[in-house]
Formats: sequence, C-alpha cells, structure tokens
Amino acid sequence: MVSSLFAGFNNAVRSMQYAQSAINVHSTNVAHANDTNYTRRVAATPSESRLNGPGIIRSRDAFVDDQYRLANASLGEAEVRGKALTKVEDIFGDPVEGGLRKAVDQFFDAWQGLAENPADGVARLQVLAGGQILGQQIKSTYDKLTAVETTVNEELATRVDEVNVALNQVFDLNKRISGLQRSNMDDAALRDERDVLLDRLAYLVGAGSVAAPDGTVRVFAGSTVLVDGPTVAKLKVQPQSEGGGAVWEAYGNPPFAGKGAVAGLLSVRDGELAQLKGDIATLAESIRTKVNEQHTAGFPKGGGVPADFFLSTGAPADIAVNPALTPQTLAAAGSAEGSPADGENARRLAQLSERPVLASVIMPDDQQSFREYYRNLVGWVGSRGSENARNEEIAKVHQRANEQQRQAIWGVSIDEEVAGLTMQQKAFAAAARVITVMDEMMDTLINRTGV
Amino acid sequence: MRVTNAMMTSQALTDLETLRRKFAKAQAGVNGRALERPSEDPQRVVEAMDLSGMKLRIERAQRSGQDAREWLRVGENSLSAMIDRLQGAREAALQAGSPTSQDADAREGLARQVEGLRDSILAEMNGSHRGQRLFAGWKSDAPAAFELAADGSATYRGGIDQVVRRDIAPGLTVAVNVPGNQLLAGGDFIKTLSDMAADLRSGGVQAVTGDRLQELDGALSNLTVLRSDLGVRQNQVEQYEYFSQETLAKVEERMGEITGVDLESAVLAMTQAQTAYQAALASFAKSLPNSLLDYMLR
Repeated sequence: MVSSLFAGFNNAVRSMQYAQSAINVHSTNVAHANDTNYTRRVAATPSESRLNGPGIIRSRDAFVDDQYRLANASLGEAEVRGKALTKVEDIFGDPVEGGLRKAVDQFFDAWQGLAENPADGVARLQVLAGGQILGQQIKSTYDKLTAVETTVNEELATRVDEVNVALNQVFDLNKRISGLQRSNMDDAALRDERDVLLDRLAYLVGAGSVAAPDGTVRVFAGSTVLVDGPTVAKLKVQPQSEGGGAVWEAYGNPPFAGKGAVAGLLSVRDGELAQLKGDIATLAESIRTKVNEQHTAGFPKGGGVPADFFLSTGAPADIAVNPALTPQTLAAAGSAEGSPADGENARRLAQLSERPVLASVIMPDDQQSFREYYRNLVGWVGSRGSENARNEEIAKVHQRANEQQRQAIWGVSIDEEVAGLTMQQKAFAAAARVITVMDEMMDTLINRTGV
Repeated sequence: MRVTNAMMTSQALTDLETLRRKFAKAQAGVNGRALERPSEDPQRVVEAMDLSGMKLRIERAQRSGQDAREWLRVGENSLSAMIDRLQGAREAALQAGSPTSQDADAREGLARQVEGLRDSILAEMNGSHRGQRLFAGWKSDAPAAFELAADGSATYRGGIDQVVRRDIAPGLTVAVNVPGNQLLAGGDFIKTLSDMAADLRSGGVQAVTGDRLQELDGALSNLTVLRSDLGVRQNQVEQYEYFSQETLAKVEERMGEITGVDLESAVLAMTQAQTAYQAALASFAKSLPNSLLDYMLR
C-alpha cells in the first residue's frame, strides 16, 4: 500500500497532541501528589482510547477499596468506643488512690472506729461524714456516667447527620457521574469525591457499595439498601427511653444493624453505659437498704427509735445521709440499756462491708460484698477498655495496611511522573522532528524536483 | 510494591507517632506512674484495689491492737493489786489466830486493817481507764461499778457479762475487759472482808480462821484465773500485732510492685525510646525531601 505523505503529517500531529494531553495528566497528578484521596490518572494511549472515552484512566481497584472499607468500619467502631470508654474509666478515677472505692472503705472503717469507741463524739461525726462522702461519691459517679451518655448522644446526633448528608451527596454524585459518562466526559474528579464519601460511610455505618455499569454505585449497610437509583435511606437514632438503637427510614424501616462509629456509639450508650448506671444504682440501693436495716436494728444513745441512716430521693443512685441523724441519734449500741461502751451495732455495720449481699457484675450467681462488687465493676470497666484498645490497635494496623495498598496502587509517585513527563517531552520533540523531516521531504519534492 | 511519596510521608508520620507514644509512656514510667487507668491492666488494678482495702483494714486492726493491749495491761494491773490486797487480808486472818492477837485492841487493829484493805480493793474495782470504768461492762460511765451496801456486801451496778471487744485482726475480735460480775464469781469477797472485820471485833476468831479464810481462798483463785486469762489475751494481741505488721509490710511491698515502677529499667526504656525517636527523625529528614525532580527537568 502506498501511503500519502500528508498522512504522515497527520500521524505526527496526533502524536504531539497525545504527548500534550499526557503531559497534562502528569501535571495534574503532580499537583495532587500529596492528596491521599486522589486517584492517579493515566492518559489512555491512542490504541486504548478507541472507545471514544475521555481518554483518561483512573487506576483504582474495587477489591482493595472493599478491604479498606471493611477495616475502616471496624476502626470506626473501635475508635468511638475507645474514646467513650476512656471517659468512663476516668470516672472511676485512680483506682488505687481514691474514688468511690475509697469512700466505701472509709465509710465502713468509720463504723469500725465507732464500734471500738462508741462513747466518742468524734468517732460518731466521722461515721456521718463518711456516709455523706459515700453518698456524694455514688451520686457524682452516676452523674458523670450520665454526662458521658449525653456526650455520646450528642456525638451520635452529629454522626447521624453526617451519614444522612453523605448518603444524599452520594445520591447526587451518582446522577452527575452517570450523566458525564453518557456524554463521554471526564468524571474522575467526581468519582474521587464519591469514593471519599464511601470511605467515610464505611467508617460511620460500615456501608459497602457495588458499582453499576451506568457509573452509579449502590450503597448498602448489612442487608439494608441505602442508596439505589432514585432512593436514599435516612438514619434515625432512637432515644434510650424508646428502646435505644437506630432505624433506617427506608422501605420497611429496618433496624440499624450496621457497624462503624454509629454502631460503636450505640453499643456504648445502650451497652456499657446503661449497664454501669444500673450497677451503680444497684450498689447505692443495696448500701441504703442494708445499712438502714442494720442501723435500725440498733439503739441510739439516750433511747428512742433509730432512724434510717440513708435516705433516697427516689432518683437512681441518689442517696444521702438522713439529715435528721445526729451523732447522738446514731444507733451504735446493740442493746437497749443505753450503755456508752456498747458499740455492738456499729461493729455489725462495719462487718456489713464484708458480707455477701449483692449479685456479682461478672458472675450473677455469686453473692458479693459492696467492696468486691465495686472492685469487680472497676475490673469489668478495665477489661472492656483493654479489650477495645486491642481491637482498636488491630483495626488501625489493618486499616493502615489497606491504606498502604491503596496508595501503592493509585498514589502519585513524583519520580514516576517526572519520568513520564520526560518521556512525553521526548515524544513531543520526536514528533516535531518528524514534521521537520517531512517538511524537508516536501521541500525536496516541491521546490527541487523538476526545476 | 509501588511506593509513592504520600506513602513514605504517612509511613514516616505513623512511625514517628508510634515512637513518640513509646517515649511518652516510658517517661510516665520514670515519673512513677505505671498504672493510670483500669484498662492498662485490669488484673493488676483489681489487685491493687484489694491491697489498698486490705491495708486500711490492717491499719485499723493495728490501732485496735494497741488499744486492746493497753486495756488488757491496765486490767491485769488492777487485778494484781486486788489479789495482793486479798493476800494481805488473808495474812491478817491468819494473824488473828495467833495468841498475840487475842486482846480487844489487837483485834480492833486487825479489823481496821481488813476494812482498809476492803476499801482499797473496792477502789480498784471502780478503777477506770481513759475515763471509762474498767469493770462495769458497757456501762462505762456508771458513777461506780460497785457500791458498798449497808450489810457490807458489794452491789454491782455495771452490765452483766458485757464484753468490750477490739478487732485485732480482720475477722478476729478479743475481749479487753472483765465484766464486773465475774470478779465476784468466786464469792463476794467484799462481804467476806466486811464479815471478817465484824467477826474480829466480836471475837469470833473461829469464824475468821475458818469460814472467812476459806471464802477468801475461793475469791483469790477466781481472781487469779481471771488475771491469767487477761495475760493470755495480751499474748494473743501481741502475736497478732507482730503478724499484722508483717502482713502490712508484705501488702505495701506488693502494692509498690504493682503501682510503682522499677526506676532503673524505666530510665533505660526511656533512653532507648528517645534514641529510637531521634534516629527516626534524622533518617526521615534525609529521605523524605528527595525525588527525581531534584535531578531531572532543570
């Protein structure tokens, strides 16, 4: 076949155009070298772009994305749980130096002191002060748990807003991307934006996605479809008074059964926090009834009917020393005759701290003393915290490994881009040179032939 | 694997953060804070809580032990004084039987001696320690534990068999007093002494050397038993004091192990962490800024 000389010109021009557009792509890549959400792009070679696409290929890998998002969901759950559980641990304070444990110990120690010296007014005052501190400590522990619950609820509201906004944005991007795809235009930037949202949704609710041929994605969490064609689901948290948890406002209103940060927050709120608040209230109620039971079995100094030691306002974990109680009316004596050295009832009250009166937090069949009950409560909080810390560490490592893999596939390497730029520069120069050669050939043909 | 610039940067940051965290932890260790929150080591935290509760109880028991020892010693001294004086009265009774004591003046002298001993014993029986009657049971503020009745007998005003106790070790109590009624369990020796004085005055020498002497012997043997009982309890308290001191030392040692830090190893760990951190900083500072761009296209 004989080819026309002008066809050579065309070839060279096309090649220069390709080099130019490839340089464009390289320079865009370099501009995003530090953007970890940016997917590296490659200019499609003339042979690849025969499909009439935009001429740009995003080097993305859906499998790695899925892996990354799975890890992200676990990380989201562990991270928010870790944050909340740390706050819960802070409430239980320095387990050795202070906190509620010390108040329990000192209250019963004060009774022991009174048992040894029932005639001593100071020993009586110490019992009352010990009771006051114990009541305050219990109440403040409970209040602080409620405060953590409030912050968890606030964070939950924020995260749920974020989820709903992200779902709507994905829905919106779906529309725009499929439109661009239909008209063969570059949609890479929009796809990057959508992938960021999908990463975030995985972190928040453990959402996954499936790509459709029209360029849209179908988003789901568990078995609930969140974004699909024209439909978008909406997440709604239920207050604890309505049974806790969350529901999707979608077809059939399925309950939220996802993972991620929202699941983590819900599990802390409806799990650990609810349990701990109940346990502290149980401890308070048990201390109140048992101490009152023993106290009213004794005899106040100077006769009379013994009053209750602790009063409850009726609110959970809200107990305080009966304000009517005075050092005089403390029932330290075990017999009615009113002998000043009779501290038998105080001794029995002191021994109450050793008596098994409460079902254990960890093993409900075991009866425990107040001291042991509280000790196990702290142990329980601690092991929850350390278990979660381990999970968080694992999820972090997992997520990092996946992130590295993602970057390995579609991160920008400046070295590569510089090499590519140089290559295209040479290709451009070579194509320009080809035109010069052809020009000379034309010159020969036109100006020097047949003269 | 392709390695990109962002990967290197983020890896460097992660590594630096890990090293920094290690350094901070090692530093907290040097500052003596090995155990800050329950999740760091739930088992150890729970043990530390148990130990500090145990420490509080042992310290309380130690104070009780000292107090118990004081009470027991005072009670024993008091009983010894009573026994000494009853022995004196016994000698007076024996003397009453001798030929030199047969005239009225001598007998009157003896009778007064016996009455004097009786009053001083009564004073001992009403003795108190730290403002509390020793032998009145729980009625430690009674004006008198024993009163001398018109017929010369002793009337007990305290509580019957009321035992004052101290918890000298967690779960172990010991009685630190002798309930007053038990003093008279071997016979009302006050009445015996009053009768003896009356017999001496009336010349009933037979009764003095016979029945009274016998009654005194009964009372003496009862008091001796009570005294040796107090002695035994004192020994017990001392033993437990020693025991709880040992226990407290062990508890404190273990607490130190759990909550404290081995300074040498902590400093070593901190130095290592610091070296690693600095080395990483230097290496990243060298490797991160370079790319092909530094050598091409210029």
